[in-house]
Amino acid sequence: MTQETDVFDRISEEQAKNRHMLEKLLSFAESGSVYSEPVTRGDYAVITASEVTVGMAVGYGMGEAEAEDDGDGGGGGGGGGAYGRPVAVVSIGPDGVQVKEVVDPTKIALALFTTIGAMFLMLRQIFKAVGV
Amino acid sequence: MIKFNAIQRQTVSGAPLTHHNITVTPQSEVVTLKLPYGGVVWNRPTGILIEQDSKVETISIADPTRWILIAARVLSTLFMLITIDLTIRIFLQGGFQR
Repeated sequence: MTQETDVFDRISEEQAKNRHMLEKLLSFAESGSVYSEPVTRGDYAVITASEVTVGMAVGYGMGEAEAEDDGDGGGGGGGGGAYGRPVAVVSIGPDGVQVKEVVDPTKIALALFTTIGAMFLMLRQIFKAVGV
Repeated sequence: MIKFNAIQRQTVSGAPLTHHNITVTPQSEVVTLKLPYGGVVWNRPTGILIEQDSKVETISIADPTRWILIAARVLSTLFMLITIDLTIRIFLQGGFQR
């Protein structure tokens, strides 16, 4: 019984720690991650603006022993990912503030090729099934 | 009663930057999805607030890449729905070959 309580206590502790870590990581993504620190060169200061997405999750499981001799057990795991993409460059200089949007041709080309490829494959399957 | 506040959307202002008597305050939009064992945060720049000679101006930041990606996703979803509809019609008319 003591061993069982220990396992559950330890899992609860780990859960609390992981929740705290999740909160910290998510709050980091919420504030101050979109705009970079300004870089100053001569009369100009430049900051970059990016889209930032962060996702993460943790999971736990525990099991009680069916027989007296068997031990209880528990385990957990977690995962996450972050994604960033430059959106614009803000330049501050003697002639005022300029915002230049960043277009990502690689991302656009990949999305378009994937869309067109999926459409082509769907149409080919239909035509094949119909016998055209 | 428990208030379900899993999805939050807010506009956040960053630290102001002053250069050449121009003060720039970056602004962003944060969408947060918080679940008991995880979460997602989506943060994107929306615009900058410019203060110069006691004039305040806002420049919004457009994101053409995002709009093109959204258009591609909408197009592929529409095409998928049309294809499903077409497949069901052909199936009901007994048009498929075995």
